[in-house]
Amino acid sequence: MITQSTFLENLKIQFESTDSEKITLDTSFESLETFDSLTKYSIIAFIKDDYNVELDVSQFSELTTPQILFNFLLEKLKSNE
Amino acid sequence: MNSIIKAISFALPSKKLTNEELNLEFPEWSAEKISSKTGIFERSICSNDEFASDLAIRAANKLFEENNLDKNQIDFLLYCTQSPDYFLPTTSCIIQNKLGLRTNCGAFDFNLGCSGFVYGLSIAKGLIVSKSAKNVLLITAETYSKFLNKFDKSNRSIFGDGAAATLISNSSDLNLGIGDFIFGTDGSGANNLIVKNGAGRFPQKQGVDLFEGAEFIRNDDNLFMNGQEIFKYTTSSIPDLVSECLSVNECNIDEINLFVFHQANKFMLDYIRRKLKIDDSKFYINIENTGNTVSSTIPIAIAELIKQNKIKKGMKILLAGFGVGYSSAATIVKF
Repeated sequence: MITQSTFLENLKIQFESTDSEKITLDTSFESLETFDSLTKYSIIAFIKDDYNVELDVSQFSELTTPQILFNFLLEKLKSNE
Repeated sequence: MNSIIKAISFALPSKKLTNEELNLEFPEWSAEKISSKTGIFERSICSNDEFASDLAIRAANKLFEENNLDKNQIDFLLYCTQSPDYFLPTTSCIIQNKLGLRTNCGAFDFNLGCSGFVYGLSIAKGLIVSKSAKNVLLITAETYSKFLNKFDKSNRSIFGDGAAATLISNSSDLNLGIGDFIFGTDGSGANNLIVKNGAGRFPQKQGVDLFEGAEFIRNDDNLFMNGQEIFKYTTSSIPDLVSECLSVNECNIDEINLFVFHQANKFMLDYIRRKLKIDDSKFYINIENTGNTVSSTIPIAIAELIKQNKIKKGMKILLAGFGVGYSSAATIVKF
């Protein structure tokens, strides 16, 4: 079962400490100082490793906040059931 | 008969490229951002008239001098590079002559990138165990800077030039030495890290710089790396490579004293470390002043560990190399 709190905690690990402390569900990824291509790749790998959901960079660019990413994941997991 | 790593020395070009210099060329690319992501503060870059074999010879001569070694004892030279002097002859013949190694010494080049050092250890071990050689000189040398496009800020931030020379010798102590190997090959990823033009299939160098907006994308005359695909390959396949390496060596992960992986960039290494649940203190990262020197990152890291007196007798170190190909290899060395 996917929970918002576990998702957010594990998402924060993908960021450097200066940014991970600031992140809430509504934070815009682009507003974070250390958000760049390597962070995107790390989040994509984390989504694959933890939820077995494949994402590519172009899909990810539309998922602009943790909440939107979480909702996308829920949808994907539901459709995979 | 067993094989041991007896000594390692390395050589870097004297010219440095710092993050501050990169920032002057790419103002949106702050020096702090480069170092916090990649773990790299500066990398060494060859001058126009300095080549991989020059670095290789410097590293080997340092190895002989620093360890008071008699070069006449070398009976095999293995040279790992993707930056050969010529299509032919094999560069190891040129190196043999310039180093003044015996003429009844075996020598050949092999073309591998980031997995090259671990592959080289396996070849050296095979030569020693089969009694074809007693002292193998393994040299890894690379000058990727010569493949990089001047507009390619990502790869220019990551790669540095360098060479390492490692002496692998026979030993009757079966409790020490180079363990068993695991290899990985997946050529379906060949196009994700490639210099396309200039060799047999596309001999003409006629690539053009491609941009998306202001962002440089690729030029087929230069090195192209699909960052996302390389990240995906590495983070998905290397944990399995490590598990298989532990299994083939009948070793538990807790028995490993140090993990020395190919030093690609700090961010990706951190991801793999977390995925494998390896403690920070056992995971060596040495990339600050060299950058990613391709096949030389692992021997340079081991040389630094030896210099810092961090390798004690009896320690088990797991080595894993991975990258261009895709190609990977891992082993456990007991010092």
